Amino acid sequence: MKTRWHPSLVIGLIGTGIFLALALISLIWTPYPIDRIDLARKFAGPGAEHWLGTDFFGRDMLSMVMAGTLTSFVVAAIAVAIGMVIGVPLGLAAAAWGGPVEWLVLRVNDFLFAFPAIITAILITALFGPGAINAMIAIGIFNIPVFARVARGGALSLKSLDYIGAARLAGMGNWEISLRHLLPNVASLIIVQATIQLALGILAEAGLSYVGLGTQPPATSLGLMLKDAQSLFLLHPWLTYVPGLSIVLIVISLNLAGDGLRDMLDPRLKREGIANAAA
Amino acid sequence: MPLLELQNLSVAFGENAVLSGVSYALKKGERFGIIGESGSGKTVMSLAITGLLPEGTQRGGEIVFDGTPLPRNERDMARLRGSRIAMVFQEPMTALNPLMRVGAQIAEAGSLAGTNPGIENLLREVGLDPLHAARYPHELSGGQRQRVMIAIALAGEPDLLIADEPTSALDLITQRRILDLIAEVCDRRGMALLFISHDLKAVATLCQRVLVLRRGEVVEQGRAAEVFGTPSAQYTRTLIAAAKPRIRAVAAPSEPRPLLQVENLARHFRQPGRAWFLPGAPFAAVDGVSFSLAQSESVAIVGPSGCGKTTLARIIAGLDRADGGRMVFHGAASSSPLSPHHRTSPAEEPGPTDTSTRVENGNRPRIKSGEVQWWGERSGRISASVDATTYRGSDLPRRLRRDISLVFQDPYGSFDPRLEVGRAVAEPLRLEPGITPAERLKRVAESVEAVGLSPALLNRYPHEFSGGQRQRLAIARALVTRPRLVILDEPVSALDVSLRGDVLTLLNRLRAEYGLAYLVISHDLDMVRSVSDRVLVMEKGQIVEEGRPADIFEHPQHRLTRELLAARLPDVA
Repeated sequence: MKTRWHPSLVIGLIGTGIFLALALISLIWTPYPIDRIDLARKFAGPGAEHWLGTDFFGRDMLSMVMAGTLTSFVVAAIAVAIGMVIGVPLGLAAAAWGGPVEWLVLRVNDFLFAFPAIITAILITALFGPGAINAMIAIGIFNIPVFARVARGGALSLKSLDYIGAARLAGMGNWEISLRHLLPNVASLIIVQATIQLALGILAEAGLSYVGLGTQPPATSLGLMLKDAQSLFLLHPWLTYVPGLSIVLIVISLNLAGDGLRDMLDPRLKREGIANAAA
Repeated sequence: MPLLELQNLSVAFGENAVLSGVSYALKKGERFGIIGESGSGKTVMSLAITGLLPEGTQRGGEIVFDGTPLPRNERDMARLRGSRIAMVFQEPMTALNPLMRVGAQIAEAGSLAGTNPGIENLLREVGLDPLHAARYPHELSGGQRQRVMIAIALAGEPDLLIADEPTSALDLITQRRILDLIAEVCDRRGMALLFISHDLKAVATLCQRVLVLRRGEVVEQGRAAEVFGTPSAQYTRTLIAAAKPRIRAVAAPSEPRPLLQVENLARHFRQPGRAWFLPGAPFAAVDGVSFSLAQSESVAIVGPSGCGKTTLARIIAGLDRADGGRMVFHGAASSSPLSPHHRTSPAEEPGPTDTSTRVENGNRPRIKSGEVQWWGERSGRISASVDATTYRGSDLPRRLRRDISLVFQDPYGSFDPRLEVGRAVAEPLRLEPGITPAERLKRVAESVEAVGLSPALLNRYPHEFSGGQRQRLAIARALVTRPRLVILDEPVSALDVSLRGDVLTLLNRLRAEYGLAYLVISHDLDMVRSVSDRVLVMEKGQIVEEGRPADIFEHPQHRLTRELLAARLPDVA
C-alpha cells in the first residue's frame, strides 16, 4: 500500500520540526545567554546583532524564544506522557474487563472532566508551589481521562470482532488481549490524540506561566515572555508579537500534523472506499 | 431501443483497470444477470451506471440510458437516479438510516422522485404489513429491511432496478422470498432488472440473459439457458461446476463413545425494557437444547438467522456462558503424550487456486465416498483414560480448551490486521504447556500445510490473503492444537460460491485424516449434506428435528425443515 502524504501533515510536520529544532539547539547554543541582562541595549528592535530584538532587560529575544519553546515542548510532552501512561491502560482495562472496572474508570473520568482543567491546574500549582514540574503534573492529570476515553472507545469497537474471540479461545487473558490485540489496533488513534494534546499542553503551559504559576525566572517559557511583555504592550508591541506568534505557529503546526496523521492512519477517512467497493 | 446500453465501458482507479471494454444492452422489462466473483468489478459497474463512482476514477466508454448518454452533471444524474434508476444494496442494515422510521424513508424517496405512490401500498406490494411504516430499521429483521429497501427503490417508479447481491446477507429462506419478490415486482411493473451476484443459482432463477464478468472483462454473455447449458468459456464451465459441488460426506467409523453431551442448555439475553426500572422480558436465544456428539462424528445444526445456533456454538466453544443446563466433554484425562498426527506429505495437496475449483470427488486415494480409511489412529489419545468434564461455557477448563476449537464465520474479521498470520495461527498453542519454540514452529507449519498453504507465507499480514486463503488459515489456527472437536460457524457462507467446494473438500479431508469431530453451524442444507453425518434443525432456540441428511432431505417432518428445503434454489442448467 502506498502511503500518501497528506499536505497538511507535511506542512504541520515541517512547522513542528522547525520549532523543535530551535528548541533543541537552545540546549547547546543560543545567540546570547538568556540570563544576560544588558540594560544598555534594552528595547532594541530587530537588527543584525539581535535578530528579534531585545526585551526590557536587554535580553536577546531569539535566545529566549528558543529556550522558551524548549520549556513549552518539554512540559507539554511530559504531560502527554503522563496522560498516556496512565490513561491508555485505564481505558483498555475498562474495555477489556467491562462491568465494575469500566464503571469505575468512567466515573473517575467524569469526575476529572467535570473540573475546568486550567482552573484546577491553577489550584494544584497554587497549593504545591509554582514551577515547571508542578505544571507538568497538573496538565498531565487532565490528559488522563482524554486518553482513557480514546483508548476505551477504540477498544470497544474492536472487542466484538472475531479475532478477539479467537484470542480468548486461545486462552489469552484480558491483559494479554489488551496488549497484543487491542493496543496495536488503537495505537493510531492514540498517536493522533497525542499530537492534539501536545498542542493543548503547550497552550496550557503558556496559560499557567502567563498567570505566574508555571515556569519561574530565570528560566523562561513562551507564556512567561508574554506575561513580561504585557505591561509594555502599547509601547513595545513587538515584545508580545514574538512569543505570541511562536505559540500560535507551534499550535497550528501540531494541529495540522495531527489532522494529517488522522487522515493517514484512520482507514475510515481514507479515500480508499473505492478499493472496498471493488473487492 | 435498449433501455440501458454500455458501450465499451472501462473504469480505472489510477493505474489499476477495474473494468475494461464492457458492452451490453438491456431491453425494457428484461431481467439481466451479471455473474462475477469478488474483485471482478461487478459492483464498480453498478456504481458507474448510477454515477456513484468515487472521485479520482477514470471512466471511459459510454453509458446510454433510454437513448441519451448519462449526464455528466451531478444534478441531472441525481434526478435520474431518483426517478428512473433505483438500486438495492447488499447490506440492508447500513443502507437504511437508523434514526428514521422506515415509512419516512420511503416517503422521502417518493417525494424526491416527485411521485406519490402511497407508503401503505408500497409496503403491501413488498409483502410487509403497513404497520411497519412506523418502525425503525433495527426493529425489523434482515429480510424485512431488504423489503423496505425494495419499497424505497420502487417509490420513484423506476424503469431499471439494480440489485447488487441483494440476498447475500440473508439466510436461505429469506433469500428465496426476496428473490421471488423481486421477480414478481419486476413482472408486475414491467421494470428492467440488473441483478448482480456471485451466486449462479440465484442468477439462473431470476434472469433471462446473463453476462459473466472476470477481472473486469466480459467472459461470456447470452441467454441464461445457453450460457448455463452450453457454456463456451472455460471459466464459465468452472463456475458452473463449482455451483453444484458433488462432495459427499465422509462416513465416519462408528464410534459409540460420546465426545460431547449437551444437556438442556439455555441462554437468555436481557432485553431493553421501557425504562431502566422496568426490565424487558428475557429473550431465550437457546432454550433447552440437548444433543450428543460422538467421537469423530460430524453433526450439523441448521436453522434460519436468529434461531440461536451461533450462540449455542459460542457457549460450547467456551466464549459465552449458559444460564441453564450443562455440557459434558469427554476429554483425555492427561495432557501427556499425544500421538503425532499421521498425515500426508504436503506435496499431495495442490495449493489453493483462486481461479479454478477442484471438484475433488474421490480422486484422492484415501477419501472414497462411503469407504474411508481413517488415518490418524489416535490410539494414544483416545484410549487414554477418559475423564468427563462438566462445564457451562466460559468456565471450560484451560486444559480442555485445546480440545475444542472454533472456526469463525467471517474470514475477514477473524484475523488481527496488525499481526502476522504465522503468529495468529500460533496463538492457540499457548494452551499447550511447555512447548518449545522449535516445536511451536513445526506445529504451525504442519497445520498450515495441512490446509494446503505454504508455510513461507506465514510472515505476511492478513490483508495480503484472499478470502478463501484466510478461511484456510482460520482452519489451520483451529487445528494447531490438534483438537478433537472443531466447531465450524458458517465456514463457507462468507466465501464466493466458486471457493466453497474447495473449503468443504478440505474440511472432509482433514476430518478423515485427523479423526476430527465437527459441529457445523449453517443455514444452508446443501452445504450441510456434504459435510455432516447427522443434522439437527433448530428454530427459536429449540431443536425441532433430527436425522441423517438423506432422511431429512427425503422425508422432512417439521414445517421449518420443509421450508428450508423448499427455499433451495434449483440447480443451474
